[in-house]
Amino acid sequence: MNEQSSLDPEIIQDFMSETGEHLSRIELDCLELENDPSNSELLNNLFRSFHTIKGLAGFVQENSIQDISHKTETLLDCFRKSGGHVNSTVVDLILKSADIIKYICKQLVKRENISITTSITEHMTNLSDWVTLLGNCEKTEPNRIRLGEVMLREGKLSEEELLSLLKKQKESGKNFLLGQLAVLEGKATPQQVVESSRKQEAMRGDLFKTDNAESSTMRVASEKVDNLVDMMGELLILQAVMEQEAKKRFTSDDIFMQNLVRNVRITKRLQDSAMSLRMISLKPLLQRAQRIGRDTAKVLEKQVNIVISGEETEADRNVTEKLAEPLMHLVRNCVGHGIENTQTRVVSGKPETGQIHIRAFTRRGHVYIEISDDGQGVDHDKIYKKAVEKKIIDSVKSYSREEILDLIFLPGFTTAKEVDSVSGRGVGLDVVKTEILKLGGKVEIKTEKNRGTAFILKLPVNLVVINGTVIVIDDNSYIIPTLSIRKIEKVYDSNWVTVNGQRRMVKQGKDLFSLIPIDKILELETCPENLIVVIEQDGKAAAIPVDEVKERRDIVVKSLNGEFRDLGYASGATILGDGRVSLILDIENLIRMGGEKSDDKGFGR
Amino acid sequence: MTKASGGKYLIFTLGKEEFGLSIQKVKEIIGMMTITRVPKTSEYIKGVINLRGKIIPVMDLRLKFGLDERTYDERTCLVVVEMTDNAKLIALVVDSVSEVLNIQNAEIELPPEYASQDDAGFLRGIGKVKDRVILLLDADGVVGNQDLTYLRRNIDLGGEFHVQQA
Repeated sequence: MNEQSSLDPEIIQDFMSETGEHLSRIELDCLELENDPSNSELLNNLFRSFHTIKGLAGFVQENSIQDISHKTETLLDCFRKSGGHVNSTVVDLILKSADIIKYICKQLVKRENISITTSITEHMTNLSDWVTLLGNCEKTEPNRIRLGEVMLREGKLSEEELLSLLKKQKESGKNFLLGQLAVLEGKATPQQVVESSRKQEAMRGDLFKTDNAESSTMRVASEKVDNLVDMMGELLILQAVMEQEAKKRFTSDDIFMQNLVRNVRITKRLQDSAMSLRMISLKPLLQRAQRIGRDTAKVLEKQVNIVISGEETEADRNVTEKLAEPLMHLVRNCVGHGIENTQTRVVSGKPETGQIHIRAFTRRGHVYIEISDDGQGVDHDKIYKKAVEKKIIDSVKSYSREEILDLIFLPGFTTAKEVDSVSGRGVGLDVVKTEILKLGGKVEIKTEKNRGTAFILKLPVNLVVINGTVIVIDDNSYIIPTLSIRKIEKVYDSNWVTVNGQRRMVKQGKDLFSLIPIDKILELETCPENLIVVIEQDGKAAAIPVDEVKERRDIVVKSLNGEFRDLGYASGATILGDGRVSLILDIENLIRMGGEKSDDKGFGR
Repeated sequence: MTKASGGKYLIFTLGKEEFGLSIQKVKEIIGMMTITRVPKTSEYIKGVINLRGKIIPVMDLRLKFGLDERTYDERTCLVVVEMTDNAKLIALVVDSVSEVLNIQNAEIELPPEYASQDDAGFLRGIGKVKDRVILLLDADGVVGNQDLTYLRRNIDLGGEFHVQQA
């Protein structure tokens, strides 16, 4: 298609993003419609979405999309008119249309020639057949409001005048429009006709209008927002530098200081709103997961009801973007492994239809997504046996329940006997864990035999600004994320626990913390011994010896260049008030380095 | 390997030698500033600096070239260069920066055979301007694609802390 390649990429971009929005709405509406087939509002929404896509496709001259959306629209219209209820076959059909449009869109972006596969043509025929079956609705225009009616309603024409005009129009062989005739016959002024025809447009528009409440949003290129957030970060850093300088020169009652304080407050608010621009709702993400779950259930012929809640929860775009894949794997896992087939469910006294609940919520600076099912639960013994069989674990040692459960996240680990289209290769959960860890989050699993399984993803709300505590080790400042700090304590000689002459642990009352050998990790000659910062993550705690604890402040997290990615002890860096760079300690890794040595357990890794 | 072509070169010194970097690669020249040490990196990586909000690594060219370390003084400069592949910035520590010199194509000779073998892959030519000899460097080659982190990958970071057995 040559004309296509001549299209402005920007037009295609706009088309894609708008169509994408409608497509995801279509998915949601379809799923809702399946549960609530008599809801005419949903039918209308679907109709409008397809109608809009059809219109948009016109701009990019994409006939195939126009065709499909038109046919689907017609099908929907039949239901709208007849008030008939949509069954799941029809929902499938509508979803298929959406999928095909998505597929064509993808090709459009890649600037490939649109290949109309047989499955697409089949689908088109299928749609037309349905329409014929339901009575041909295509010819009657949907709820068309005629100009005459409008003029009549407005009192611009009397009933007799209208009738005679219509008669004349018929006599003229419909060569004239009603408005034209009205003017020619002197029944109305041109202005009146124009006015009425505008009104007519507006009334027609009502039928197709989309929710105005939703269109009060603005589409902005994500780079622009990213840029803004970056600049905000720089402003914050600069401000910290200025604050520090100003404190040296002015007293706090100086007018300059007062203004600076105000400035700080405004910047803080500015930063919050800049950050909020990047916060996007998890709704599309959860909807997608719901759709994938539904489709998987169809393929596996399982009866599953998927409920989502907490869609209004927001997270930074950088986070949400990377969640799609893990969520997909988790949902498929729930449907494939969690939910039993109908017979098994009935035998074990459960309702025939399995329940999957995808729930999102925010707590203490983190976003949680929980995917729970009421299926068979993870079979602890089966995993243990498989792991022993695969020589992943040693049958002589004893393992905690959590450790065994954790094995399911290992790459290539599966208890499935056969590989099917949905699962069994043991890749999915590995992807989940890797992706979530990369985001600085974690995955937790709760399971009970025959009661179900819940996977809980815990993620940072944003990756840009965190609250950090500035500590000093050997004259260098480092940052510890404040949320990871349990306590800061002074240590005395009697607190140290030595093993073979080396300080290995710290005793604080009843608590015993393993000591992170920060001197070795940071290649120092001496180890601080003034204070310890007890850090904690995932219920594991360890102590970092430090020289000094300075302050607590919001810091802008900068990723270290690729070259420094594998440092192990640092997860990023920030710029402090004095303009110096300070490394952010990687709590999870440090705990692992310090913690595992005290009890030699683990999977022989 | 492509020979360096004529054009403007930033001339700097390391000890007695004069070196040149194509001016197109040089983003800016700044005086020495506070460097934050990044432990567990190669010795020639001095750490990172804050360049107007950007965190960029600092490489000491003396150490990179196996010369003796020298205390930084007021003539020590940071030459910020941009990598071709990924537009990343890196600051190179040099003894001093002298001038920007226009070197003609005809004044540039190929480096001697032996130099172009392995570790001198960043030497792109020798500029002979009057009686001066200027070693023309390829910034990308100097920084190299290798991981700047010199990691003891095979040793688990915790491994060293095992209780030693007598």
